[in-house]
Amino acid sequence: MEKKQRQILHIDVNNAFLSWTAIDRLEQGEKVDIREIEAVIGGDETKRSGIVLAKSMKAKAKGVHTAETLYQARIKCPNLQVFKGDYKSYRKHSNDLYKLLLQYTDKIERFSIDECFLDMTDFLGNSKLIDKAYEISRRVKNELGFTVNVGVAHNKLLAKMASDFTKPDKVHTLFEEEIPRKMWPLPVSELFMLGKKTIPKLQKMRIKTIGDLAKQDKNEMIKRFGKHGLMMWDYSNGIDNSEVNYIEEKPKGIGNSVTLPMDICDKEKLEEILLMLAEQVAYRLRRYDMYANVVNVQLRTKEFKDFSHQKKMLKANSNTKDIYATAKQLLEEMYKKRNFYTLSGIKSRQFG
Amino acid sequence: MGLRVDNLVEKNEIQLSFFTDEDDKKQEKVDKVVDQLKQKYGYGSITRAGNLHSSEIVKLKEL
Repeated sequence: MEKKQRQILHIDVNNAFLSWTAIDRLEQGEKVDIREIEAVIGGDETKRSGIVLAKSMKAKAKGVHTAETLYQARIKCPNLQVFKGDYKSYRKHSNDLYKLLLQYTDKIERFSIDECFLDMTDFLGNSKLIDKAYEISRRVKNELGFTVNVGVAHNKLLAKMASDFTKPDKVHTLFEEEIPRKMWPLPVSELFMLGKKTIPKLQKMRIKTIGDLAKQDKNEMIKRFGKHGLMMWDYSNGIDNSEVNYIEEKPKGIGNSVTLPMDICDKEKLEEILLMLAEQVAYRLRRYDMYANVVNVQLRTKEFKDFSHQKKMLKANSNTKDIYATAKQLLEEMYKKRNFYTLSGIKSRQFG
Repeated sequence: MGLRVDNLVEKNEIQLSFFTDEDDKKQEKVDKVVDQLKQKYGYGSITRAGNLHSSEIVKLKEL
């Protein structure tokens, strides 16, 4: 059987450190959005790590580069405002992004604090990769308050190259047939994983663009550069078979909940909704290749009192039928114990 | 209303019992087919007859 074509996204936060600090400041009630002024995130000058970690577009326009000293940056840009980085906050924003992306696929590789690869191959259903890319881009912007670039391709290399095209807040595709037009005209230094020491050697061979590299003889490249030569040649031709390295995080429990409309109090309707929940929870459980021992049902009264019942199943399983049957018994117990009409208007609560 | 499963174990860590229950096997097969359809055609593409109308009453949070 032919292997399914992979569907890969690369998500790259635009100006991550500066954007995240900007959001934190706005949340703390500051009026100025530091993304809109000449600003940088800088290391600690007293600890001799006073370099530019991230810059705003306006600072960039004045010629400020990442990794240069703050001293140099201030010469170019006298009104430059320097803000301190906050790694704890950056980690939180990075985790927020990761959590949002987990709603699209389980296969996520956190490539760095502000970059992720997503393998969407088995998670697309009948939607298109490009549409998911736009949806993610829009949701991150609306729900998390910062922008990302999304690279859309059939392998990691091309997705990564694509997300780097033009910034910010852009979705770019780089499919195989687009390689000659979109990737080959780029300078060879733009190619992923190309070391600084290699570039002068390539220039001596009159290789200036990625396209020049792609047209070299493959065996010649291997002869000259060994393994690295093969990798460079493959990359320049858009070949990359590496997998998205995701960490399988096995959950301790899986749950979901819904808000019930005020008027629901008959048992059959509740059972129907319970079945809907059971179907989804069991589905997720099976996706993890796990079995559950315990089923727990929660209800909230209109006085906002929560109560829950749980029960161990006869044997661990992941069947929708068994999980639903147990849940139904629990609902029955709760039904008997409480005055059921106090259960109307049960509010949702986030579980799992 | 919420539903949660706990005390999860890896499927392959479960010791096979001497008596394999035919009904368990059957359920597993049914679920597997449903899961494959969901993965291929989308989560909402197939559901049980018993909750066909639940989505009109409440909205389930996405996966």
